[in-house]
Amino acid sequence: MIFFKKLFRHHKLLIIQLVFFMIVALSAPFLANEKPLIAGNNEETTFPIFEKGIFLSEKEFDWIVMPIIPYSQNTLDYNNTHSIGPFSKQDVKNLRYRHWLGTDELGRDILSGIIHGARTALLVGLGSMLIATIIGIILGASAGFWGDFTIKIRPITFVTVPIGILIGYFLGFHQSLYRSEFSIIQFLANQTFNLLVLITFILLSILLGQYLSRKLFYERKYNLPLDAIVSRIIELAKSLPSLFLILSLAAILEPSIWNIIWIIGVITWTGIARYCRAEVIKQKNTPYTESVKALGFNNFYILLKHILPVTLQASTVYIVFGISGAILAESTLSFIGIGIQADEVSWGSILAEARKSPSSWWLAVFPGAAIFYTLMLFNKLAVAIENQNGNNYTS
Amino acid sequence: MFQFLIRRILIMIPTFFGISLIVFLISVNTPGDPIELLMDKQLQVKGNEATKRSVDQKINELGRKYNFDAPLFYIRVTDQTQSDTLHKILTKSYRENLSKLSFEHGDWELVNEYNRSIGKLTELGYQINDVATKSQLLQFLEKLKKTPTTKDLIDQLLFFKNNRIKDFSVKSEINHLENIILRMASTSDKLNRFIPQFIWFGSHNQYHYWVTNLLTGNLGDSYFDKTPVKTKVGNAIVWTLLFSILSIVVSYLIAVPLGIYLSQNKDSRFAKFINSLLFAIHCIPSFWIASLLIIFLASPEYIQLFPSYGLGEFNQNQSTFGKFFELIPHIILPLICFSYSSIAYISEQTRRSILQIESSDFILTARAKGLTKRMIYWKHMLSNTSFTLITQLGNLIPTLISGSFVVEYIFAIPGMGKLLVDSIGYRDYPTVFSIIMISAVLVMLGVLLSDFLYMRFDPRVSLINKKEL
Repeated sequence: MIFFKKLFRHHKLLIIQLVFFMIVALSAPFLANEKPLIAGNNEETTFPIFEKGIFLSEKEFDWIVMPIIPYSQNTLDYNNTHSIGPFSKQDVKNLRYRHWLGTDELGRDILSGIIHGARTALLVGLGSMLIATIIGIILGASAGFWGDFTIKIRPITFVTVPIGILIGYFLGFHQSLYRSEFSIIQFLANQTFNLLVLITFILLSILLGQYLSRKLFYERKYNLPLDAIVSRIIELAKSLPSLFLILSLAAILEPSIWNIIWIIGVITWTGIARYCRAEVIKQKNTPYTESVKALGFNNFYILLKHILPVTLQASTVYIVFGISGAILAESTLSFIGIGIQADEVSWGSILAEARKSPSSWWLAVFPGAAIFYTLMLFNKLAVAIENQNGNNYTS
Repeated sequence: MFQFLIRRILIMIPTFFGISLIVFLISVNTPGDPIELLMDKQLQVKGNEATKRSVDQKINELGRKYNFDAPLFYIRVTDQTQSDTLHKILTKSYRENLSKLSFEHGDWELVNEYNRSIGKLTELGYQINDVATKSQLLQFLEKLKKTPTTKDLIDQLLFFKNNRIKDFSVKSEINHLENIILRMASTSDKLNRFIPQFIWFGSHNQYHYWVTNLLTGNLGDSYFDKTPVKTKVGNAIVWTLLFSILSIVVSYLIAVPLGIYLSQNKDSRFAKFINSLLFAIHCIPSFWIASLLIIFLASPEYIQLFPSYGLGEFNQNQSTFGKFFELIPHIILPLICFSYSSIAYISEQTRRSILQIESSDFILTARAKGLTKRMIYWKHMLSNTSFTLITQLGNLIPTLISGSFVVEYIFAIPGMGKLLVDSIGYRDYPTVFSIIMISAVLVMLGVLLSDFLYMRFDPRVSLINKKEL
């Protein structure tokens, strides 16, 4: 908490801009929508913005309150097609219905597209970094904390764990291999259940291995080279041409924003993991950790209570840089025309319209400026956190 | 040092195989049937029963040529319901449906019999002279191949039996098929689903062939125009490498003096301004700047200074020098887009490392020793800064190779990135995955090169690396 207070005190302007961006992104449907916010007559008051379908019955109401921008991202203004510029003459009812940033070839409002695109950008940035952070911290912190020589394994566990994995897989994932789910919720519920089955059997097999080796009086132990394994995985993932892989995976899978999020998350976790590992190793050798150890607390408690909070705070630099990287990757994909669905809007997909009509500069300038501004905000935030942490980590 | 290099290369081998496994896994799960994509479009015209037989022959031929009749991997872990010769079925959707059927029924032998019966019926169907009956029967068989459950199979069969078929052999075979399907539907051995089965195939598998072909330089044939992928990628890689190297040279030539200047005048207002400008430049998305450059500097509406797309056309009788001059106006805009970000990045790194070294102890010692300012500067500071610059090279190479695709796409430069985007559009998967593998190898080689250079110039590093290894 002190961390955030300090950050706010030193970088007020930056934080205010970030909050503004988030508010715009989260309230996009209320800021730019073709449906009125509130509509009413003598008898009743309704909220058409929450209703599904198209709002047509404008005549029935005495008064309506429109959002600030009375266009959705997909609203086609048939009077203003073929990219009308922001300064040229527009065929609109009154000033309130003016397209402040112009329209594209089909007559869609650019400002509305940019506001809704902020939502996509925020969703992709935060969502993919959440996934990357979870993977990165679990792998990086455990590799750094336990290292190569701490975890001892009884040789019988090497036999029981593969058997446990096999049984868990067969009872769980294999049984739904040939099933075809129709709804995504059913699919997710099924896969979660399968994962739980797998984890249960792995834990059971570890316990069985411990029990058996005690029964058989075979107490010899081997090291589990956790650090070496994780480092190899990180090196492998680092050698992958990440943008090429994101591009081709997004093209192969169905176009949807959720696919983009997990693809970016799964491919870009290595930076966080590498950083986390180094930070945990650094924290492990500090005097305060040693004193906590001397007080007799167990390893897991020390990791969770004392080392991870410090590591998390330090790795926010990487996470914030990653958010801007993810936003950039997503807008690049949608610029090329891969990734998001046709009815979703992203800054990249608006910018792509500029390629079709090079004379309309507003199609290129405004969405690009939005991307640039957002990247700048997040990068500045990262630098600010970095300076506050008192270290120069980026190199 | 030699030992370190050997070690480093040895570590690259498992990394290479790991990457190849990941890429192979993705390539197997691509939508669409590879054989269908490889086939000539004329042969695939639907509804023409006369060509069906030649289509079948073509499928077998292609399957043998590209090893699609081999199993996927060295080992297959599955349950007892699955057959170990399933990979011999070449049509992907039919293969998956047979797999589903045997999972539902619980014993693959009956499913095998079903498959054989369908094959026999297809042969009989080709021999029927009556066109109407022939097309009815063949269409029915196509439908059966697309059905994954016994319940739907029975429905299809009952629907088909409304047609009166005169041919005796076909009739008896249909009855046989009905018998099999009913037996499949009535019995179900659920226990077999839970018993694992390990099948070892040896080196006769698709992954093995793919990797050995990759290592010997045979990248397969493109689905799109049936030409070898090798020539396609070979033509493209030249441009990508040319632009990468040019951009590295340009950005180092501009960024290093800039960084030195910024570090020397760190308190001046101008340097601070340049500093924040560089930070902003680093945040600019490359496709934005590329679009803006094309709109404002290369289109007839505004200022047309440069050609917008492509790399120009060469005359055959032009000299190499003439070709080069022809190329220059085409290169300038893409080169700006390739290098502006790395200029900002490298100059910032140079500035930082000089400032860091300036405050270190050995500079203080050198000063105390009475060395001249110039001596300290050239001998001690810059030689130490060069290590940072070399490490940055290792960071730059991956971003240049894989981050360049959008610039290539916008400026229509026939490099690897453009080829990748195009091939994705054509669903030309062999080209896509070859490009990914090749750029992975290029990235690994780039990192190795920068490690080597780093070690060559900095005698301290070999010790650190040995500890890490």
